[in-house]
Amino acid sequence: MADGALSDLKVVEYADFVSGPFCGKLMADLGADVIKVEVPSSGDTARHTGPFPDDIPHPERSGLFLYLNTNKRSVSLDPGTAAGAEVFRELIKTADVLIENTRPGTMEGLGLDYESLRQINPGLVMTSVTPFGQFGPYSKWKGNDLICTQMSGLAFHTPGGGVDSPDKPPLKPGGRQSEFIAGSTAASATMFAVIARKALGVGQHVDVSQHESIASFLRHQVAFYTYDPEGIGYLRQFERGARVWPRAWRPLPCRDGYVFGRCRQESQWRALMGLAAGDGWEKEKRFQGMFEGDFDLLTFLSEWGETIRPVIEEWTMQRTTAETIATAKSRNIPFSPSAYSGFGYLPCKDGYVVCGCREAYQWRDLVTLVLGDEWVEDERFKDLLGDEFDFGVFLFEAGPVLWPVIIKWAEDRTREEITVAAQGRSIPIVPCNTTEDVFESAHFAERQLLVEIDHPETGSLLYPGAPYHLSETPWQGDRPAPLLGQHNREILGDGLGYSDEKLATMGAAGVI
Amino acid sequence: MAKLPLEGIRVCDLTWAVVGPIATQMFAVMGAEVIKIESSVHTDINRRSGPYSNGEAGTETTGNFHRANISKKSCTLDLTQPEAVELAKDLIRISDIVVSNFRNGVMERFGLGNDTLKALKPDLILVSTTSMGNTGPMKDYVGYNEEAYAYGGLGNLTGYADGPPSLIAGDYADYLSGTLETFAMLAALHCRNGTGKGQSVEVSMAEAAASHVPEEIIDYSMNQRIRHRSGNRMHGVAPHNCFPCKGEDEWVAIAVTSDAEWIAFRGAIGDPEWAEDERFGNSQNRSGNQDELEERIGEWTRNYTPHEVTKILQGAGVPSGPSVSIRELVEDPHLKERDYFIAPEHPEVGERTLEGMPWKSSISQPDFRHAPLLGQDNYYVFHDLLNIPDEEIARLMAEGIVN
Repeated sequence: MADGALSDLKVVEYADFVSGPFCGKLMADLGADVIKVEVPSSGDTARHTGPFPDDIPHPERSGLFLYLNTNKRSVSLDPGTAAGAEVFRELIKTADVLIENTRPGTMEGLGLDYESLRQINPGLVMTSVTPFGQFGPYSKWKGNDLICTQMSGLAFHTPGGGVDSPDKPPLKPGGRQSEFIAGSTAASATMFAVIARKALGVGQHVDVSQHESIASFLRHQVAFYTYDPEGIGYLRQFERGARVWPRAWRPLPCRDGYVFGRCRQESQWRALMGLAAGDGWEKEKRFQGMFEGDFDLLTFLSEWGETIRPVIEEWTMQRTTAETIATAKSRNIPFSPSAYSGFGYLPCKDGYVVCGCREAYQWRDLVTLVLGDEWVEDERFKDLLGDEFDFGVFLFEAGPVLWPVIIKWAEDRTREEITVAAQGRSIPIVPCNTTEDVFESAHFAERQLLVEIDHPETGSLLYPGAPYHLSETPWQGDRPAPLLGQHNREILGDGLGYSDEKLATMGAAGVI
Repeated sequence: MAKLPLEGIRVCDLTWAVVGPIATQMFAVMGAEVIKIESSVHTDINRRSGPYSNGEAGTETTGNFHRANISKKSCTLDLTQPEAVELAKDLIRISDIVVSNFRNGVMERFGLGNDTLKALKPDLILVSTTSMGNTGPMKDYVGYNEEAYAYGGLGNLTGYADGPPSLIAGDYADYLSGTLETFAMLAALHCRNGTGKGQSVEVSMAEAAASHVPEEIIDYSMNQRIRHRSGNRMHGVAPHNCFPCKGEDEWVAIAVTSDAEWIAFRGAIGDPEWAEDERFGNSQNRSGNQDELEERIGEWTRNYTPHEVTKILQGAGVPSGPSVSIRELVEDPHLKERDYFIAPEHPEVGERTLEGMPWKSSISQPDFRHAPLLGQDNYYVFHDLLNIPDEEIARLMAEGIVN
């Protein structure tokens, strides 16, 4: 086999399920010699997760395990026994990297914490991947993909049904995303420490938090919260309603759904009060002093939000969403049936396409494609697509008008027709692929995204292949995942020099 | 302070928007000298959208740019002019890595294609990221984050079971790909350190996304089964969802992943009679009767705040946690104790909170400096690094080559 980029690295992986093993896989697929330490008899949890061929559970046939452990060697070893811990230390002596994802404190309990291991191998880089990191109030909590994702803000700020139907729970992305993300983060953090070793002369302990790994994907949302002087600007993008919004900004209930108001200026609030409380509202005692002094949106919302919210709600609840919006529009009050529309999935004849127009020119091209050239004269969008184009404002104000027209256009076309027509004009639309479509994509086929791997227990199967291409030291994730303990003799006997007798004794004692 | 891992490594950064900048940002905070080549005519798209610290559009005041460009340097060049391209090449000659994420063909149009750059310096590491990759019938397609994860198969798997696919918050595929790109760059650098060999690294965001839904892909491979989106639920285990709590739009996540955790859960909620039902007796039965199970659990969670539920359940060893908003994330005591958030002093916006790096190293602490002002390092790059005399720099600026 050609040398991989990491062929000179020896990695011990004492990691279970997804996060740590994915880190090990990324390294193994680039040539590192990854020795996977699994507990004897049951092995890695992922061996029991599936999917299994014909849904028949078998520890050597779990799709999740098979994917995560390509190119590794397996030794079944219980470091929880004194003899096992001793063998583990022997493995560590010659390792460059240890990846582990046990609960904080566990390695210490086994006498295999970083402080102990660096005594026998000062160059060791030890990477610990855990749900919440090695220290801090949550460090001993149990976590997994759902918990880490919900605690990161990613789910709460995922649109899902959230914006338009606040009754649905915050939604996490499909699969086990944060587990994989923790793994790729750990792989990068490990490599920083491996490279640092040259200058430092020693290894170090790297503490990777799955919770932080997924939270770090929300850099923009955090900036929306910490930069916008109104503290509410981040609501303009994809945001879920209710709790985080100032009360007066929350979705307003109507007879048949919700509407969203985005009044920012004093004149807009005055007009809205006129609608909701009647034209004489200014004379009412309870509203006295509402607009005294310079208008500041945040101050206004915090001082008057509680007072005006019920008044506005009472007005909207007597009307349908359409009536509410039409009436508001007649007084230049920005109301919309959706917090954000004109972006995302379009249902079509044979599934969905996704549309991610961001720039004014993409919108002009899309509208031209759908409505024809005459749209240019349409007063409703013309001003919004000028030099002062603002993505958020456009989606809030033009989206609700345009999107239904675009949906109508898409619904009797196929994904292929829409994609070809759109991409012909450089409009960012592609099909939304099911897993079957991933297998049938001519694009992925030409790029060999799926690789065929032969395994003694499952036969040949297609797996997701290289997530990146290195020209001189190609990705080589095509050696199948190991059987449990498959390399005991090779690693412990040939590698560490344990005799057959010793191995047999350890086997009988359940150490290996 | 200990030397940072990438001290002495210079990155010529031609990236913009999110995916490329996220990768070079990790290099910058770990000690690499990352020099961003920008155009002041066509500025980084992230300099052109908010949030702005003072509420008004401005190149230097947007958190959208700052969040992805911490600790980098910035110089300006108008790469549509041949002389600017020559200057970029001069900088590349003294760099270790060149990173870009333009659409396919743009680097070639600038005269900075891989073959040209390799000829300048054979041990360069040349990194490019696009939404669909540099080859294949869709290589010229326009696409961003949503297109990448939808085409890679993740989009269709995200959403409630009874609804359409849902978008994912933020620039999800950009981060996912940027993290993998960082690892691939580090692997290539490690290899070059050992062998002296450079190489090119190509990342397709759609393929990066596909690498994160392997179970679903292999299920099709094994059983020709097309997995469908399922909200917060997880194949084979239950309860596994977000449940309503006391208050408005308050939710708590509960994920019971084994029968042992189920028994602990039952005990923690006071062993109600309904939970004894054999329809909830094991993972398989609970999965099969999830609607009713979730209904029952919701009746219990509604009596508490998300934090109260979490305290009760984590106390019993059951995975649980509140579904938080950004505000709650920024104020989270755990993340505060871990010093997760940072606030590097920026000359235009002062100290604003941003996210740091999602790991802690016992020696190599990341170095967080403010994101660069447009062209702030022009003199350093053109005078100190490229040895161009002052009067020549003045000409380059007057002619808009350094723009």
